[in-house]
Amino acid sequence: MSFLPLAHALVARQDLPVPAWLFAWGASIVLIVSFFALAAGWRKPRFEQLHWRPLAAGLSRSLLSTPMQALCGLVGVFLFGVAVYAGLHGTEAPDRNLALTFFFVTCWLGFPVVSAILGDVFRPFNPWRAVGRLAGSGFRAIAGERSAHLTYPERLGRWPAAIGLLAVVWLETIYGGSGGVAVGLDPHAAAEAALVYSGYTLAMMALFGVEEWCERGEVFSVYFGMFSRLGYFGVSDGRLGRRRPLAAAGRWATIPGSAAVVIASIASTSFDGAQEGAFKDAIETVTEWVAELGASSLTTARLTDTIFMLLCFAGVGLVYLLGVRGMRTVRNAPPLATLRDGFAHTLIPIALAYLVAHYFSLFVFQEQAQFTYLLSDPLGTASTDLFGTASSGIDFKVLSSTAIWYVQVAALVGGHVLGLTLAHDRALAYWPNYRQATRSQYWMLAVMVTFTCFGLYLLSVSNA
Amino acid sequence: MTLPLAHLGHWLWIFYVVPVLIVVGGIVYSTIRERRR
Repeated sequence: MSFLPLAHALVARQDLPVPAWLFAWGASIVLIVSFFALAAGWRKPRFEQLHWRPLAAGLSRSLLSTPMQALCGLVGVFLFGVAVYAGLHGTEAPDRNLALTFFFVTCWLGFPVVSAILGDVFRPFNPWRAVGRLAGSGFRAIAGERSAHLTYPERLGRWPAAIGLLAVVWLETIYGGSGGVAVGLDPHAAAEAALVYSGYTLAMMALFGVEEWCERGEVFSVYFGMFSRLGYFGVSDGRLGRRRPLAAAGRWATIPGSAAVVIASIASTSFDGAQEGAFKDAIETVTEWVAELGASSLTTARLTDTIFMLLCFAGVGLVYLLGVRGMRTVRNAPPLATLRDGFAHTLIPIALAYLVAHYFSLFVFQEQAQFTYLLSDPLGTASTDLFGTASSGIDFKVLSSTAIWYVQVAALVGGHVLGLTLAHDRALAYWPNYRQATRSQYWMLAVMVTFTCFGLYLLSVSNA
Repeated sequence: MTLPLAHLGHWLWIFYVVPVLIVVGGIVYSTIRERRR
């Protein structure tokens, strides 16, 4: 069986002019300099207001109109259906079947980046939202009234999405993990999982309402929506408009469990990067312990990987909570819970940076497949050549190993500087005294330096 | 029983911890100094 390429492990360290660890020192210096530059020159909060400017009424009306929403929803349902069909009826080879690349590369990696630039582009194409809204409209037409829903438990917040996010990555990297491959999942299993998830999502939408579930529990809406808060465009009061980039992020974490979503994002990416690198020896040792309990080798491997994935979640959460706890020691600090939720959005750029750093090369390589041979032969059975590109291949020379490393370093440094900026801005809003606000951010600087060095360490080991 | 610490044998990880220690050390030092004042 063949697999998707080992794309985030293609960097050869010997090409670099200085040792990889020196980049961690350089990145830390950039963060420290950025911190003091913010302290000196950024004395009033700038992201607490959206600076909303609506687009032309006609343009906004047409883009948000019901026919346009229906069209986008139809496109989403069609593409989802094609991918599921390919998974169920196509080849078992993950690299030749459209389903895996479409789900785990094009959508899972593509939407976060596009959303972070433009805004919530997934929302109109969300197939489950489209079906849910259609069902709601049908109910209204037949029953003559809106369907009644249960009240969503407030304390549950976004926890279902956080757990779901870990489950998606678990499916990809642990259930489908096959030793050193990016996505080794059986396309048939991926399609079945997509169908099971569809049933679950539509049931939850029926219980709690389409928009309520998309805002809190639907994994992909919450995950892509989180990144969209960094973006330039948004919808307010039924009108499309522009806003100050990053400004909407500050209002994202007001729902309980939001911090868990962004921590799960960083942790799952870290685990995927460390699984075959930094944690490899440790995982092998724990696997031997678990094997002594008498479980089968497959169960043992999955159980051990699951333990390490949860440890990653706990570790990332602990670093963040230590930073928050440190802020609490500064005079006039708000309550701990306010700080915990109030600074969660500062991790969003870091989650994006981790995603870009770990999967940038995979995305560039695999999208060549997506738009050539997978598009022409979605089932991978050599039975179709829809666009005449079925015999094309991936050009791995399009990126050099050194270029990949520099993109990884730039993404990590850029993401953490943005995180630092958001944290500084929020501190100015929370503390009445400018000096105290700056002092509180020493702790977030420590969090950012930790995540930067940890991220670069993971990349350097997995790529060595 | 062998502890799962084999990865620590790759001693290069120390270089990635040094910047974190410097920053945390700086915070602790400045906090103590301010409290004494």
